[in-house]
Amino acid sequence: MSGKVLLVDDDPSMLRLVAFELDREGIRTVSANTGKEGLRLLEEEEPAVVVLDLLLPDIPGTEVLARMRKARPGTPVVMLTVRSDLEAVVECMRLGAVDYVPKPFDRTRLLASVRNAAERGTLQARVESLARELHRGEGFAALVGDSPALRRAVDLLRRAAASEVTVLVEGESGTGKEVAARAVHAEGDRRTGPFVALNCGAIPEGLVESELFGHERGAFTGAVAARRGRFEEADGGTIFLDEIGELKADLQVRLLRVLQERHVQRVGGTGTHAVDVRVIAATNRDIRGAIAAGAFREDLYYRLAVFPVVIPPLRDREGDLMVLAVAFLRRFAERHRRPVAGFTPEARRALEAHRWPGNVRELENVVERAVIMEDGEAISLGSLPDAVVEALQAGTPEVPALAGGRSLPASRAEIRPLEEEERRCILRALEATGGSVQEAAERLGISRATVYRKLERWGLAPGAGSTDQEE
Amino acid sequence: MQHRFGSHHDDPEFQELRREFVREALQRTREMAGILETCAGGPPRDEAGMRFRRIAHELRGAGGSYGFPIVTLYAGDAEDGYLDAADPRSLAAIVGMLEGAVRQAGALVGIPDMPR
Repeated sequence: MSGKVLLVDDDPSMLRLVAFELDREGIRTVSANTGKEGLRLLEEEEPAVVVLDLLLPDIPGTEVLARMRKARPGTPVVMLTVRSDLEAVVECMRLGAVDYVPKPFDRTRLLASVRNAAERGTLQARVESLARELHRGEGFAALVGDSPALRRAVDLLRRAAASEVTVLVEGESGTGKEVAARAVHAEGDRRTGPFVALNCGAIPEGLVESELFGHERGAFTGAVAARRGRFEEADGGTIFLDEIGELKADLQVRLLRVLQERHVQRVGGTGTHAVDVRVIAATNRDIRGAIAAGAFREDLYYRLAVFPVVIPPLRDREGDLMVLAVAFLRRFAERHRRPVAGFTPEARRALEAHRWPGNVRELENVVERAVIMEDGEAISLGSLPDAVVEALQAGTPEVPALAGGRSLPASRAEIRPLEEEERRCILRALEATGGSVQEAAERLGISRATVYRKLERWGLAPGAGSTDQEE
Repeated sequence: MQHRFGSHHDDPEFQELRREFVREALQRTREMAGILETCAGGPPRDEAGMRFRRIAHELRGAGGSYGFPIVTLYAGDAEDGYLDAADPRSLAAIVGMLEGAVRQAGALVGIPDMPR
């Protein structure tokens, strides 16, 4: 094994013997004969394993153990003590010691314990490293953007993460409600516990109850074995209940009871199981409207909406669109091993002109598709879906986009006279609508008379492009 | 508990380690006897008592680890006797037996003349 073993024992003869046995196996040791010195060497020597005696002259061994676990939770501690200390040994195991070797010690047992502890420490470090890798970007960093609207939401989520409060995340579909819930979990004290997500609207009605609360064997046809529900799976962590507004009335009652009592009763069961779970719910529905309509319980709403947070739609996040688009581009270019590094000015304008009814999720899908479709180094109009390109051709939201500062040209060279832009917009609209002045005018938000007047001014034959029967 | 010495039970370095333990154990056993002599009429208490218990506890753990289970046996009796507030004469008898076990251990590891 690599790494040193720290021996903490006030009996010099015991320190000599343990050091001798480990040295014979090629294991380096460092020794301390007081608890205080042991704690100092833990910091200075960064041992792979600690072998700790219980009866120390200055600090009780249990306290030394607790302080070691706090200072270096990844360093495994093996207790080495006489059999008469069994009660204390139990306490040590509760405090996080990985093993106990009784004195007088058996050499083979001691070596196996130290090696197992070292292996466990290595595995633990590996698991933590992988978990960090896995959770990278799961905190608030996953909520990309710097718009005031997003900053306000993130500020609220941070406050929620620092507490145990029940959170209701509201927002349109695709705004990132689950990302927000994961961020609250990842940044809170429950981060090492499970995060269990359940979309209440995506599970067949008859199965929701069993999914949420579990079932006992034989509870219903097909229940061949007992099964834990999502609440039990989330014990010690967070349960995320998406589309909570889809929950039927009877399940709303059961959920309310769980939130009040913190116990779940499996379907077909008689006993209850205690659950220590943080609840984050989400909805894209107007829950208050549902309450008014009698479709959602008001008492459940107040249980869930202790701390409501609204995730803004993408169209309200000024300046975030291209930041998100570039972040997605980098992610998908790496994932799909595509040499795409940016967007052409036209593609950029198209993205900015689109209204993004599907919000961040829609943008994410559009960019992933474009990364795969694009043959050049920058995503061009040809790689974007028709719905996005058409928005540019129709020029639909140019005015609000400019007002929001999102579709400003990337360079001075791209600035054209307003009338020219206007002409281009109207002609494209006519082209896109097959020459229908009526539809082009409606889509542009201007009157038919204005379209005719402009065409006339530009020297285009009146009605030349029109196929409208009524014109 | 028998200590399993593995491949180094004949290792001179290990044998020297055992001799060192026995020499120290004899000194510590004598210290225990000295503590009992200074306690008139009752079991050792306070600092002296703590010292008595600590030595007994350490010999209890180390004796068998060095391959001397009888040392562990009597040291354990001494520690338990102290914790049970046993009569000092009983404790003295146990410490006497402990010293005997240490001397026996000295003979086993080839210490020719253990001091009296």
